[in-house]
Amino acid sequence: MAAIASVTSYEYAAGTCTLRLVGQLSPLGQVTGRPVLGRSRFYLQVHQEDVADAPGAGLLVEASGREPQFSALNDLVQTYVQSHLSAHTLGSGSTMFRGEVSLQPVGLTRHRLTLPAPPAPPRVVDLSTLQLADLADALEQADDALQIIPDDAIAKARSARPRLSLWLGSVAAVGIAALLGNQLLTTAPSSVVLSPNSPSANGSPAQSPAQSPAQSPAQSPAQTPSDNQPSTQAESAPDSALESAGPTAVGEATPTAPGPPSARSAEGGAPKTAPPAAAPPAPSPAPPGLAYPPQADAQVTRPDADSPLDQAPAVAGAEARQAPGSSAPGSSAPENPEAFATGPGVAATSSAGLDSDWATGLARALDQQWRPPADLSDPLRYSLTLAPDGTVVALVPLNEISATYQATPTLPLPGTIIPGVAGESTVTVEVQFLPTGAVVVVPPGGSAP
Amino acid sequence: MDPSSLSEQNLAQPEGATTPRQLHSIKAQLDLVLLALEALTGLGSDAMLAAAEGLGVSDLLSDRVNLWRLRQASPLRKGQGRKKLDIDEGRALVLVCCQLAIAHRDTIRQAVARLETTLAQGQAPHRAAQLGDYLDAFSNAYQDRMEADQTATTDELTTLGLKLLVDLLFYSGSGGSRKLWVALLDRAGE
Repeated sequence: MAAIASVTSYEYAAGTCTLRLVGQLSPLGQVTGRPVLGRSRFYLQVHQEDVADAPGAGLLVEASGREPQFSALNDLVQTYVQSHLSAHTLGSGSTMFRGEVSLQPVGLTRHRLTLPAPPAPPRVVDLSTLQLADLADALEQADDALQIIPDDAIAKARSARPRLSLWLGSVAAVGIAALLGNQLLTTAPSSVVLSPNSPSANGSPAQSPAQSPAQSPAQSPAQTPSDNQPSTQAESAPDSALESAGPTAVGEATPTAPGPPSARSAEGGAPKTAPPAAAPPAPSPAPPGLAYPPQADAQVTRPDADSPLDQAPAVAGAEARQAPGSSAPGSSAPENPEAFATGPGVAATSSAGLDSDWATGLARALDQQWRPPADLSDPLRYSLTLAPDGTVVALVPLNEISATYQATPTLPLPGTIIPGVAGESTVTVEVQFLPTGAVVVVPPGGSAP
Repeated sequence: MDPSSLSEQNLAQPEGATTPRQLHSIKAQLDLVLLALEALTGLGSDAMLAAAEGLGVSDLLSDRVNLWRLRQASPLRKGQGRKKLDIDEGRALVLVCCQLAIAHRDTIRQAVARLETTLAQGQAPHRAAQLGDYLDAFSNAYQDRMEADQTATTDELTTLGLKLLVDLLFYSGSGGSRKLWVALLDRAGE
């Protein structure tokens, strides 16, 4: 099992200012001689000067953000202070900017700090000289004690590879699907021609039930224990098939699709015969016919799943899970390739009916924040409860690995506010955080696995 | 006259053909920082020598005479035959200044807090007892020791004293010695 990335927190205090830095310790620290933090976040609090008289009530400003904001703030404050010291008189400095952060002298001893707050207008705070000195002190302490890796370098290094493989995987999946389809059409024309009279005549009786729910339970017990976790992607295919066939099969269907390669190759025969069987007699067995294409997709994309392409089946699974609830299930299948390109979070919520816009917004907001740990190999699944104002009320892990990573700072931790997702009431949704950096949101109306 | 120009005018006067102008300014500024510390906290040369010993620079600041000669290097000072200040001595004085500022951080913070309070209330700084005592001590010491600028007015010395007081606050924090050194170089380069 891969090692768990260590998330470390460092806190620096100076008078009225408290600075906390949270991030992953990098092995580079062994070379630099001081801790090196990657994927860091900062939490800054500046209190009123008379905080000792009224503890807890003197919070002047609170800010948090990622490395770029921290670097900008640090650089701005240190430069501003140095220019202040180099000036000949008090209050003779000029306004300084670093991005959207600015510091401006106000009078002899006040300093106006402007901090961006993306959804809201920028916050403007007048710091006293004592508070500015404390802020500079805390930042200086952090600067001396820590080295912070810029997020840009990490993001570029991380995002380039998965996106390339995602596209390659998608193309490969389409190609394999086309190849298998051609093989089916060319190698079994006689069975297609002969089968309409009696579906069981051209195939063995054992195969025909294999496509029905009857065989799924027979397969599932053997595959459930071993493949439960890594199978969140492909499990949706049988889900959709079985949900359309009967609601009772959902629980059993989940483990059926993910099988070891041998089982997969054994199953491979069944789907090959399935489309011809499903296509000609389309009028009567409509529900199975609708259900099979996603399953065929899932089966076809499995070879890609052996490569690092993990989220492609996941998105397909998420869509397939919602397909039965949508008004046009058949139309969801062609959308899958587009879903890979536009982002799984959006794609997964596109068929969620009334909640799709909200869920899309939530997926986007979470996607901007989510930075998967380097050693994460499986999706993390959580039940996310949001208050009407967008505050995260609870984040409940839905499996063991998710519980392990629950403290990851890039997850929506309880108490934080997710901008742009305010609603009318408290909402609980299932959210999947994929190792590729994508986020899948299952809207409240969607089926939970 | 701008109080900041007090030092600048005098620093601009050539002390010697071979003496860099930067060091003139650095010597004057370091002496002023020590003067502000003396005026605010009442410390004397003993505390400076003790700080130098604690910092391991006692070979550069070994005794009172040595310290006196270094401070007399300021072009603002009365007297003749000024000693030249080399870089190591300058750095030793920077370290001593910041060490003393750290040691008296509470006093400095208290004075700066008072200054902000009086300014916020629209009062003159010297109305606060601590600030009044500091400004008086600073003005007296300045006029007593500095020969080159006998024309400085009380307001100019008040402004200079308050600027040095606020600067001391930043020198008493993390990285204070670096901040002071960079400020000295910045001013000297102007």
